[in-house]
Amino acid sequence: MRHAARSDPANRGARSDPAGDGTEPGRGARPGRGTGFRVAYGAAGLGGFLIVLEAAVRSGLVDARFLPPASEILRALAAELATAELWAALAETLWGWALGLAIAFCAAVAAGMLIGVVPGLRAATHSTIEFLRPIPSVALIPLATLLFGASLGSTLLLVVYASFWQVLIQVLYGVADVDAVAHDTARSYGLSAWSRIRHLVWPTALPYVMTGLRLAAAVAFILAITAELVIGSPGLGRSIQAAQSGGAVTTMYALVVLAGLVGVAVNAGVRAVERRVLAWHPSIRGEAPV
Amino acid sequence: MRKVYEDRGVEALREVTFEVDAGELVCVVGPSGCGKTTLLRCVAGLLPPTAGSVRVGGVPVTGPPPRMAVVFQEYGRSLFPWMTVRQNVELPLKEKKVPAGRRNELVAGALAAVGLADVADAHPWQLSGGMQQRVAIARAVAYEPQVLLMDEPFAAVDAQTRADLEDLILALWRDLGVTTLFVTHDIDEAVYLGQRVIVLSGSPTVVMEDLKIDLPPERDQLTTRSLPRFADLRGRLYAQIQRARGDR
Ligand SMILES: Nc1ncnc2c1ncn2[C@@H]1O[C@H](COP(=O)(O)OP(=O)(O)O)[C@@H](O)[C@H]1O
Ligand SMILES: [Mg+2]
Repeated sequence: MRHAARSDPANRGARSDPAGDGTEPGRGARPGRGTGFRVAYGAAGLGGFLIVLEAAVRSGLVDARFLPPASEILRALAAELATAELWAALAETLWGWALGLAIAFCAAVAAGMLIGVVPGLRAATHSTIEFLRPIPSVALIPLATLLFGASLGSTLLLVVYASFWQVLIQVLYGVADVDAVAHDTARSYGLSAWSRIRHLVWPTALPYVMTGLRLAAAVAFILAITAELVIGSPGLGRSIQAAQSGGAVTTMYALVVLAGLVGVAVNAGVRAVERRVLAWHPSIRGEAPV
Repeated sequence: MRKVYEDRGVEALREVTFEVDAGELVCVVGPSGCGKTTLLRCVAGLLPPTAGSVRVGGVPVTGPPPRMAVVFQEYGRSLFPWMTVRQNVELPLKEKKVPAGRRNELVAGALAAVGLADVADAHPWQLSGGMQQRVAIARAVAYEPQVLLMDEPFAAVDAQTRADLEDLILALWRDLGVTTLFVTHDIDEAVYLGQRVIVLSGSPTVVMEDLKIDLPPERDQLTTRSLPRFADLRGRLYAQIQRARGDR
């Protein structure tokens, strides 16, 4: 009961949507709604979508020059997956994504904890944050080109800028959510400032941090692809651009599909981390026995 | 001492003065909202009094004094859900730099004393309210405090658990000789537990009565509560509290 009022960040509310995603734990055991069922439904949905797509093209409803049939896209994807270039491009993209995300995450957590814990700093930085945060990362493309040209540096600049704010804002919410009674408890048992950060502030903020990480991971992936597409830094985005300008429409679609699949994998990966780290949290834990 | 919450201009305590001897168990009763929690937080050094002072062992309190443990009314919120029961009890000892061997002893001893040895590795949210409250008590006991403050610790547990916990507190107090300030709104509980009962008035809050409980030191739920003297004291306090309410 207390958790509803206390440590359930509002932005986690969406997770209680039972059909929202197939990963919510503690519900898998419910008869008729098991993980297996949801995976099956998901696969059936995707299959149906592909069939509709295929039919639309084959029946001439859509021009095959602009949208090849799904079967051909999948065949092109298989062919691409057999080339070393594709794997190199994929590795570039993932490297830019992971490195940028890691830099942004560490910087934002450090900055957020500092701003949240040091009295007065929150008020002092508020206006600056509110000014910088809404600047769209893509508006920095000219700057990135100027500074780094078509290289990893450009990707990193965009990725870091976009994901930094996602994490920072969540950390700030999280740090502000420390329970008053828990705080009094920590003080009355003589916990030092550092211990309070480590054993109280950080765990309280962790659900928010994880939400921030999940949002940032998605945004970082978008920005990594964007940088490669627009600036031409090496990676999957540049390959898509190259396929398009070379008239290889089917290959272009295959790469887009691949980008989508990687995005799904990224999201699933972060959720898995989240579930491990937040096993104690009301949004993750099942109803407890004993 | 006196306490005014400046931000809302609420005068929580008008003029409250009393002493507690070392090793004594004193109960504080008063109508709800009269400032019992405020009083306890001032004594615990979590809140500065507006006027007057709090002294523990002759030393003025400016922050949380060492060797003082507090059991909060909102026990659920005072346990850390990301830690197991054992970790919750152990954390203050780690902070005190108690060596690992002694620490394990204290944690095991405290959990056994409250009857929770077998759920040491559970998380607080896996336990019932009464069990959570016992974890909070175990944490206070393991800390080996000289002074123990308790804020309506049994307000939210069922009658049977409550009787058990009352006897637990009496046993711990007798065994450890810890100076205890026990806040409650339940007159029976105050008379049953206390060596003295301090009655606070309704707002503006002052000490209305400081009553010595001259019941035999060995207390028992059945016999003590059926003593004529128990009924006497209880009736007297009850009348006081009624007056405290009426004054408001
Ligand atoms: N943090 C606070 N800020 C302002 N007013 C408070 C605060 N805490 C308690 N009060 C007020 O002080 C009075 C006493 O509260 P409290 O000490 O909680 O009473 P009790 O524990 O006896 O029920 C109440 O009127 C309450 O509204
Ligand atoms: Mg209270």
